[in-house]
Formats: sequence, structure tokens, C-alpha cells
Amino acid sequence: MSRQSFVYGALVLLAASFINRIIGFVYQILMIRLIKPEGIGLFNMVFPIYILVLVLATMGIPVAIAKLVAEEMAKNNIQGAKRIFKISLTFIIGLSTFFTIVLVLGAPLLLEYVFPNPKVYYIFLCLIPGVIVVSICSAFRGYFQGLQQMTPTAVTQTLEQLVRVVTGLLIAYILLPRGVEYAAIGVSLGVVIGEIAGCITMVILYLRFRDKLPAVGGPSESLSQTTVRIFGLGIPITLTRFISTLLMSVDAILIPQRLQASGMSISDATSIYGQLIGIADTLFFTPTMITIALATALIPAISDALALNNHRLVLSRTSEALRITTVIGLPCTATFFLLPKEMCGVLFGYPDAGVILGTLAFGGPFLYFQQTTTGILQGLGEAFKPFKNLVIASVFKIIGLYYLTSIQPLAFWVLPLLWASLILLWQF
Amino acid sequence: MGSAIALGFSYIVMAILNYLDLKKLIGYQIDWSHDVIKPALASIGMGAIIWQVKLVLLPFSALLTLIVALILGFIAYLAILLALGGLHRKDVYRITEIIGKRFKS
Repeated sequence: MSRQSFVYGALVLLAASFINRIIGFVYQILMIRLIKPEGIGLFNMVFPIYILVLVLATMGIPVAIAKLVAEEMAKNNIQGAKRIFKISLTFIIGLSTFFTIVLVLGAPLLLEYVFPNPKVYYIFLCLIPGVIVVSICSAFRGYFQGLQQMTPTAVTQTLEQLVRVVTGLLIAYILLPRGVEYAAIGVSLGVVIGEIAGCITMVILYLRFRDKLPAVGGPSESLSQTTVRIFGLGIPITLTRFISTLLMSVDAILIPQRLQASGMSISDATSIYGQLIGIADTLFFTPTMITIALATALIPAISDALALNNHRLVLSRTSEALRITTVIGLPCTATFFLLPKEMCGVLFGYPDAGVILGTLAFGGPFLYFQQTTTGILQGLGEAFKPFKNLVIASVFKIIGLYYLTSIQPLAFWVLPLLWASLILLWQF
Repeated sequence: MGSAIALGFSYIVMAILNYLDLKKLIGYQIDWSHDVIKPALASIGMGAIIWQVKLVLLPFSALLTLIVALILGFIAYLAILLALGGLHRKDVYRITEIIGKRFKS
């Protein structure tokens, strides 16, 4: 296997991401029709917690592996690259095992204090084995990325998605007669089985690839030095990812809780949350396939222009990207605004979810704009700025979710207050 | 609906803050006429077509309404945008690059 060029590697990942998004979209349509928005709502109450634990269990080590292995390969120290991978893999296995045990022991506490619906318990328990599997798999992905081999990542991601779709739908169908909370276990098991399939494939690819690398070089630093390098890169990544994921997971807990506070039953609140996450969000985020691809492609394109010290090129690429974003984003928003019930009804069988999609639509151009601008800022080497902005935006989101979801009398004051704060922010 | 308003609002805040950072860092300014008004006008034109299709076809079939509205809406959007000079050949090239080819300099 020869080293792949950066552009080819990015293209392989982009193609895999497109295929996965399309498979994921079809899966979502079928799954909602099978287990109803309530089942999707139940799964999406626990999934963000699982992602949060994954962030902690991997500790940013896969990114550190990719970077450090690439550095060793650049020095032609293949043995050094292998050594970094093996040390990192050991850490990842240890950390993910620890967090798996913590999750198993802490699940009853999460059920009591965090999850808004007690029906999620078994759905959550079935997800837990995925922590070890995903963590190990991500270490291998980091290793291959460090070797500039993107094909294994792309292949395993697509395989994972396919296995997840088939097993998830099959198990959900079998368990559906027992109730929607059991059918939702199918979604969890689908995720874990898909990840196991991906991980096994990744290990096979690694074993095949391992012997093809010549034994050149050797350890140039002590174990403690390597450990410091791995965690020196991994911990800051974990901090920003943990806070971002935590802020994004707030929806899963806050929305169903506030819906219940407004007088809805647990079942209705879960179903409405499922309509938001499973139907409205799925449609609303479809155009982000383009904006995320644009942001991904922009990071190196802007970095290149910056490295050349070509300010005009940076500006022209920025305005070109943002023009494309509005050219794509505005008509999508108009469509979501005008045909929400038709889209939700025809595709998912739930025209009522159109009310949510139609309301979300007004934020559409801004969502697509912020994704592209985040890519540009990262390309400019200012990754902390979008993170800081996400934290500020999340504060607004949490306040809005708290007051607007349950529509208390105070809610009528919240929106004007939020607008006033926004105008102040604009001024400064 | 309240949750959707809150989520939409957070996207607006993030977009504005990112824009302000870009303005400060590289002096980027939105070209309102070309980047916003022209696509917005084309979207309004598209919206009018979709609305008409909805009025005529919705009593018969939601699926048919969706398909016809999306096709005619897309054609109307593209035609108005081109007529207004809001889409350059370079933009079309970039969009096809993002979808199928590479984003090269």
C-alpha cells in the first residue's frame, strides 16, 4: 500500500461520508416508520451521553496517534511510529475499560438523575459495550490516518453503517411486538454490532498491512516522554470536545424535561422530542452534507493560502465559500419553510413534525453559514474562536430551551431579551 | 415549536459571532447584493412557484405536490439567479467540485 496524497485521502473520506449520509437518511426514514418518533426519542435521550463518554474514553488519543505517527513517518522512523501506536492502544484499552465499568455501575444513577424517561434503561445498557469497541477502532483509524492511508477508515465506516442499518432494523422489527422501548433496543444493538464489524475489519486490515512496513528506525525517546507527547496533544482536544459535546447533549435532557414541565405526559414528550431529532433535524441537516464538505475542503485550502501569505487568496476563497453557502442554503430554507408538512408526511409519515421543521427553517441560513465560517476559522488556525462562539451560542440555546420549550409566561420576555443581547453582541 | 425557536436562535448567535471574528481577522465583508439579496430574491421567486404548485396539486396528492414543487422550484430558482447575475460559472464549477470533484486552488 503506497501513501495516498492528501487530496486523494480527503476525497476518499468525503465519498464515504456522502454514502454514509445517504444510507443513514434512508435508515432514519425506515426506522421512524417502524419504531415511531417515541422510539427514536428514547434512543436519542441516551445517545449523547454515550458520545460524551466516548470523548472521555478516547481522551483525544486517536488524533494524537495520527499526528505523532505522521511525524515519525516523516522522519522515516517506522519502528517509532509502531511504538507510539502500541503505547496509545494500551492507554485506550485501559481507559475505555475503566469508563465501561463506570457506566455499568453508574447506569442506575443516570436513570435516576439524568435521563428524563425510565424506559431508556435497557437501550442505554445495550450501548455500553460500544465504548470499548469504538475506542479501539478509533486508535486503528488514527494509526492509518497517520500513515496517510484513508481507505481503511472509509471502508470500515461504510461497512459499519451498512451492518448498523441491517441489524438495527432487523432487531427492532423482531422486538417491536414487546413494545417501542424494546424495539429501540434494536437501534442500540445495531450501533454496537456495526461498530464490532468495523473494528474486526480494521484489525484484519492492520494485520495485513503491518508486515508490509519495513523495520526501519527505533525508539528515540523514553516511555514517559512518549506518554507526555500523547496526552499533551490529547487532553486539550478532549477538553474542547467534551465541552462542545456536553453543550450539544443538553437538548436531549432539557427538551423532554421542559415538555413534561408544560404538562405533557412522558410518552408525548418523548414522541415530540423524537419528531424534532428524528424527523425535523434529519431533513434540516441534509444540506449540511454540502456545507460540511465545503468546510472540510476549506481548512487545507485556507491554510495553504495563509502559508503563502496570500491575503487576497484567503479573502477570495472565503467569499467564494460563503457565497456558495448562501446560494445553497437560502433555497433549502425556503423549501423547508413552504413544504414542511409535505416533506415530513411523505418521507416519514408524520406531517405534524412539519411544524417543528417550518420553525427550525428560519435558523437554516445561519446554521449553514456558521458551519462554513467554522471551517474557515479553523483553516486560519483559529480553532479556539468557533469553540468560544459555540459556548456563547449554547448559553443562549439553554436559556431559550428552558423558557421557550415549556412556554411559561416568562417566555414572552425571553425572546425580546435574547434579541436585545444579540444586538448588543453585534455592537461590540 | 419553542425548542425549535431556541435552537434556531443559537445558530443565529453562532453565525454572527463567527462572522465578527472573520471580519476582525481577515477584514471579510459580506457582499450583500451578490451574496444575500440575489439568492434571497431567487428564493422568493422559487417560493412563489412552490406556493402555486401547492395550491393546485395538494388536494390531489402530497407526494405529487412535493415532487413537482421541488423540480419546478429548483428550475425557477436557478433561472432567476442566472437572470439576476447571482451565479457565476466559477460558483457552478466549485459546487460540482464539492459534490463530485476536488476543491482545488
